[in-house]
Amino acid sequence: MHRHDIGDLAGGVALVLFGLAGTAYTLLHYEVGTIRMMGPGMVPSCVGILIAILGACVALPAWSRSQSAPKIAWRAVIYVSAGVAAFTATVRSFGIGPAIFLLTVISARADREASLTAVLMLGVGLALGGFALFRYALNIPLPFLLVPE
Amino acid sequence: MSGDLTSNILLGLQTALQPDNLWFCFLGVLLGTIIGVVPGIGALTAIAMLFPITLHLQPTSAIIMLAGIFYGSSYGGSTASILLNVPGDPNAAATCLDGYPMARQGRAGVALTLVAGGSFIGGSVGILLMMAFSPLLASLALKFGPPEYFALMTLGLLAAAIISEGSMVKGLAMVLLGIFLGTIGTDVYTGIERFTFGSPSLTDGISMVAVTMGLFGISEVYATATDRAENVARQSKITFRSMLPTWDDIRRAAPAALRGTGVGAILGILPGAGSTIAAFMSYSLEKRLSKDPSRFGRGAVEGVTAPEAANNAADQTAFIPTLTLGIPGKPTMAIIMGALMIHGIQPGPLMLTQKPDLFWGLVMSFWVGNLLLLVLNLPLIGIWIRLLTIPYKLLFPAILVFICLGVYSVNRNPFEVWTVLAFGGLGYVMRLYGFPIAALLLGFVLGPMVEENFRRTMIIARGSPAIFIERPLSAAILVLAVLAVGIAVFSGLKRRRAAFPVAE
Repeated sequence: MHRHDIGDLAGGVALVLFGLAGTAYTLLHYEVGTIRMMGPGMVPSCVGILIAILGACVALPAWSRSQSAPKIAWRAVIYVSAGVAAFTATVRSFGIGPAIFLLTVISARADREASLTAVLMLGVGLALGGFALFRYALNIPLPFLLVPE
Repeated sequence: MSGDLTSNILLGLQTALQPDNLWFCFLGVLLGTIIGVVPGIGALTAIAMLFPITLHLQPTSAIIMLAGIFYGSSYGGSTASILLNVPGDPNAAATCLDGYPMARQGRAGVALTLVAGGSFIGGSVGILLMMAFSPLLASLALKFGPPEYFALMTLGLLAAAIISEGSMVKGLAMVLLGIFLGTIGTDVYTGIERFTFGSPSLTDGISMVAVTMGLFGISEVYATATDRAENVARQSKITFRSMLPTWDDIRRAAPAALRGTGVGAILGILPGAGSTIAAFMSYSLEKRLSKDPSRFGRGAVEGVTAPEAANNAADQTAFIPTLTLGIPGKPTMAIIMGALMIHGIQPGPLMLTQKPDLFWGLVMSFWVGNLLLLVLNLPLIGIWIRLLTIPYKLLFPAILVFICLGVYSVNRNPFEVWTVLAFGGLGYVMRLYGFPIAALLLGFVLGPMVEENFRRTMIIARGSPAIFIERPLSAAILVLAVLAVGIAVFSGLKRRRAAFPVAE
């Protein structure tokens, strides 16, 4: 148990900061205009202020309320994110085959008991299956393997 | 407009029965059923996952398929509820209450039959309502100007904020955050690029596909990848004989299905509500009406049929405001509307007159889809049960592959996959700390339209906000919005006061 409601406190503060930063950026870069002929900055700056106010309404009561913080599934977050990042970084230059393989092999590690052989087989299977599904069933040709120059 | 209903129906049938559309309708309900059966992946994740694929199709086929995925998954969701006591889809949570006890009594087959029957009744009535009311609502909506649209969207967004889980303040904050994110991209009035930081990938705004997939797809995987108990199906063999309900079952279930349909049809049209609420409301209605409420929770057939009829009716009637007004009441509808807009079709009253083949084709495809579901679900139930035994550790990498390939295939732009990742993280944090994701998505989809209609109204009114209350229609809608907020605040206060003595 924490002395405060950490989730609402952090979320509320983040909203206040986002709202204020958004409004400040808008006012510096875009014309606000008049209520009759609004410029591009009118709506974002007003919405930003409202977000900040509501953020404060979320954060303030959270200070005097205690609530245990939920547990973040770090293992899943790290491996899944790393897998998706690997896909994104490789897909354009190497093709979807290697990208899917990396995505699968890395993200499957989120499961503690995943054995290496099973993961490698799953990687190959999904790479071939994903390519075939998109190419033949959905008629969306994506290059399977590319050799970067 | 409503006089030529017959010709509209014929046009719709002609469109829906084209081999292409028939195939994509079948594919949609099939994929929907599969994903619906698998516990944990709800209709929303299903649509979010498969959304990009449909962008490669003809608009009509795309919407037919997307809609099929949507109602297919809510059909399939009940299978896991009954056999595992784990809802395959949040919509089917109410079905657990009596469905699982029925399975424990060895009556799983009967429960599955009743669910299919109830769903079919609810779905059918929902479609009939859609056929009857959409043209009426659309012709009314033709009289709407920017102030009315602004008022309607405000009502919709407020309702989404109120009904969303967690506090109303958080819901409102998320709606506004969504609107803010929606302003990113080129301003339609001045052509000025807002918040793009010079990146050409942001000129058209943040990709809605990426936002949806991140918020509902990746965040779901984060939440479930590590700790997921393996599924053990209770009854793996279901014979045709065991699926036949007794005469007594039917006598009890049929009126329950009709009452559930009524509850669902009304809640489906309202913004923010939705099929999960409809299912629980009709469940408690059945319990209250019953002569012997103690039967509920111990395998009462009414408790299975009514919620299923309700959520299927709600699924169908939810299309009415989305397609005729262009105002989606819930995130799944926001995705369907977003898909239409990506295809260059603006949902709204004009769609019915300008694209009658699309609208009526979609409506008639609902009939086809519902029939297909009945055929898919009853005789093939054995296959779906086997699906329940696929371990999740094999499933989640496959889901990720689908998401990444799907997003990448739309524009072949890796930037959009990074966007998915960013919104996945945001969605996960929001989910953990109780900030409603659905409200954010609705704000994001409706945001640009809210802004456009507000600015247009102010130009018409020469800057006087009084126009919103001077025009009777917009005034009436805004009064409704204020009332909704008032009731929510009031009942929230009452609940808090009532809860205090218990907490002490």
